[in-house]
Amino acid sequence: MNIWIKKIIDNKIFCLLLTLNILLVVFFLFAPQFAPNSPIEIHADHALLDSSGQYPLGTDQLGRCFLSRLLYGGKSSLLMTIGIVVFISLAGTTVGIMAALAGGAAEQSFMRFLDVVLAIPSMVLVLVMVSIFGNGIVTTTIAIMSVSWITYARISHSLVLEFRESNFIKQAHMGGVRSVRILFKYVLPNVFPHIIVVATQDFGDKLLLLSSLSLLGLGAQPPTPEWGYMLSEGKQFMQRAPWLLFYPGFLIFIHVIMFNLLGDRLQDILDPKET
Amino acid sequence: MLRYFFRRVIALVPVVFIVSVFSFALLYMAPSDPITMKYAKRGEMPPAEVIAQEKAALGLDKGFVQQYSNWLTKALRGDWGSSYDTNQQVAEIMKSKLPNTVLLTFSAVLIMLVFAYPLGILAAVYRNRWIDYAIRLFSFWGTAMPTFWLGLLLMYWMGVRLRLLPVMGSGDFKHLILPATSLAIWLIALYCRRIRSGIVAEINKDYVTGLKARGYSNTRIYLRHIIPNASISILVMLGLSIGDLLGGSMVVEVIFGWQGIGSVALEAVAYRDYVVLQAYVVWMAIIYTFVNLAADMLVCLINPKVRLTEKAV
Repeated sequence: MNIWIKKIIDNKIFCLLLTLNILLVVFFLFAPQFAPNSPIEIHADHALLDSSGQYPLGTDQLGRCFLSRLLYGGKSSLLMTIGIVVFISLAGTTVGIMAALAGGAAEQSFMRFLDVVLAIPSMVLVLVMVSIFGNGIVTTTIAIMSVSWITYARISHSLVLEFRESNFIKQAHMGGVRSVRILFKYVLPNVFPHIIVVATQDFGDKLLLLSSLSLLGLGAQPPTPEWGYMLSEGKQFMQRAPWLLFYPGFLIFIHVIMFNLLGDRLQDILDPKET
Repeated sequence: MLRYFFRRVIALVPVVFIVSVFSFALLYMAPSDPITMKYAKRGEMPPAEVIAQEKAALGLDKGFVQQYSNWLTKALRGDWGSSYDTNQQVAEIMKSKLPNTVLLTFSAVLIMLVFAYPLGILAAVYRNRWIDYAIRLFSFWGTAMPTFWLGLLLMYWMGVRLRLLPVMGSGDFKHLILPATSLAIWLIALYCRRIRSGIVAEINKDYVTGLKARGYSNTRIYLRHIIPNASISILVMLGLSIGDLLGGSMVVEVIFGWQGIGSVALEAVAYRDYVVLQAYVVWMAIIYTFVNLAADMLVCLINPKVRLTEKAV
């Protein structure tokens, strides 16, 4: 494990990207502090104004300060996305490793379960889960979690399969090393770097999924500002106020591209043969 | 080959069966029921006996196995029930909306094939030159670009500013262009990268050197050997991408007002219209599994290695 950490720290571009990413996320978690106006206060007589001193980026259809809404709009999605990625990578990896190490009937039933779940497109499953849990940013997050941990279970299961029968595991078993120790000393260090890469690359996908569900009206509920939902509001006024479309989409795009850059860089470091 | 095909189809039957049980069970356990929803929408609540009576009429008071077998026997005969919300036959909704989604998805794949192959091949042939970097940059941009935002921007520029194409609507070719393009750009970005790396992986293999040594022209080597070989893995990935596309097309359908199955499913979620949702889940699973089966079959036809090992088994 230490080799990996050293490799990562030695890579200057990666450190730079990581810093930028952290700054970006931290900025939008604390951005509401910098909002010049209230994000939900309605001024019907100020609707769809162009930018001005009072409203730096203009106003939306209800006369709410657009900049303030943008600054507020990232917090919940970013927090939820971080929650989703952390939870599904931990839960999925645990299940996958357990299945691979348990073997026998447990592994067989795990595989059959995968067969069935992977036969349904994941977006369809998420939609079913939303219909059960209900609309809202938290329930949508739970719906996404309940479906997407399976990807990690599948990946970590097949990773463990690659070396389950290899000599270093066998020797550890023969040498009388306890199973728990084998898990932490030999199995996890071989799975962990890959999962970290997948999780980093997944961040953008999950942010996109969450904001597209909000855009469809299943995620964040009005009047809470959220970038995806702001896009669907902006769509109706694109002729008069195209800026309502530009900024929220651009902010989502920037986050996705930054995390994709980070993930690709991490993959180059941890898994050089892939590229 | 034929035997392999039949074995694969038979292996799919239990999967589809379990998917149907699974989707039925999920919605069976769902907290809200259609009768209460119906009255809640009207804004009046009748006495509990009336609700119980209506539930009994729909068979909602029976046990799980009973309800499931009722539903399955009807579904197999083509009767998927009628929508709780609009009272329309689900089979009819599917018949009118599903072709639109399939049309949208396959147009996107078609556009992707037309653009991604030339781009991927160009990038691989001129690898590490400026054209390769430009294509990789495009690919990076395209995979990070939210499909829904791209769709909205296309709608704004093409529809509102330049007035070249209709902004919203469904049915004819003009309305298809924008939604299919927004889906396709993401696919092109994804696949030109994959095609590039597939070709680069083939270029350095011994058989290519052998062909060159025997004096075959570069064009012939590419067209007859490298590209077909690289396409095998692309085909498998494409089969898997269809799942993302079928689901992902929902957002594009809703944005552009394209009358596909995705917008139907979204409404079904909003009204907790479980009959429609069940049919949606089962049909998506069937299409998805059969597209993947078709992809595997094509691979089997193209690739002698798979064909022979399958025979040996």
